[in-house]
Amino acid sequence: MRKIRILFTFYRYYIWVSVLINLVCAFFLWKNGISVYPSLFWFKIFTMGASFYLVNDYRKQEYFYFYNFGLSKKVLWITTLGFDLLLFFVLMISAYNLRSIFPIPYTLM
Amino acid sequence: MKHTLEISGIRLLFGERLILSDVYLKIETGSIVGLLGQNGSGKSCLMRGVYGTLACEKSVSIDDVYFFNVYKQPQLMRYLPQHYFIPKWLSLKRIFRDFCIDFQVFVQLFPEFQGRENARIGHLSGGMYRLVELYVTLKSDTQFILLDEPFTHISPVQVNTIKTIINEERNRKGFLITDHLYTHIVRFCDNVYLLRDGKTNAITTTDDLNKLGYIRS
Repeated sequence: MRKIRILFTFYRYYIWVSVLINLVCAFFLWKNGISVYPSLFWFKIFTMGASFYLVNDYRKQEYFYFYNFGLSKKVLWITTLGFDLLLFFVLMISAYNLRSIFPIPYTLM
Repeated sequence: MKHTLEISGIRLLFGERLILSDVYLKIETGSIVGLLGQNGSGKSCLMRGVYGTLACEKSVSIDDVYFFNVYKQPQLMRYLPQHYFIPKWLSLKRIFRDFCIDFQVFVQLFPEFQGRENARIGHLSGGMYRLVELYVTLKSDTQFILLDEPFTHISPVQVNTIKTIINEERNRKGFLITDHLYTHIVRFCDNVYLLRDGKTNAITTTDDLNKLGYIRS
């Protein structure tokens, strides 16, 4: 339980940017349909790479907090990016299903 | 039960510059080993190499079991780096909870933290920030602790309290301490070594430090 809490602490470095990007991607899928999915997927992968680069560059000293709980860089990134990608997929599927429940308003077309 | 940490065969090169080449240290639980050295002599590199966060040739064993990345075993070793390492947004309450340490005991020792349990560590002064990092590292449940310049930013009164805590904790832990306050290190540690030209030299008196060019009297 403690390790999950500490992993979530690490995820907090980029969670808000990630949530925002996921919501924007979900909105575009809901608006434009499945045809835009490949572009959204590669955009998401690009932002994940950017998060990795920025955290590594600006927060590298704080890795020692996580090392002190036995968590390596590899574990931190694989776990949090994996979870983040899972959230992205869930939101994409939800947004696609929402198209049939809530059709796109005329003003957004 | 006594535990033994043995460090040997460390070899670290930065480009063509040899930083560490002939290091041998033996630390037992119950002992405090001091490591002195000029800036750039490789003290921090040695600690990071031992801890496993800096790649180098090495032999690190605890009770004859060899480890390459000992940091993955926090129950065996923890490390206080010389820079701030706790994320600024974490509250003191959260930090103490993560390290499984009682905040009220800490407040009894350092009353200036009274009522600041919910404060974020990033909102504290530099000295208070460092004190929290040092305290949680010292009190954490582990066998060996590496302290890289632990007394930096800490006031003289607090240094004495910290020394008392280390003396209490030494019953079940071993310490490797490096700091530029060499008088503290020489008086406080059981064994002292000077790192010079990549090698560890045993120090018995301050005259040895003079002879090896670490101090000038």
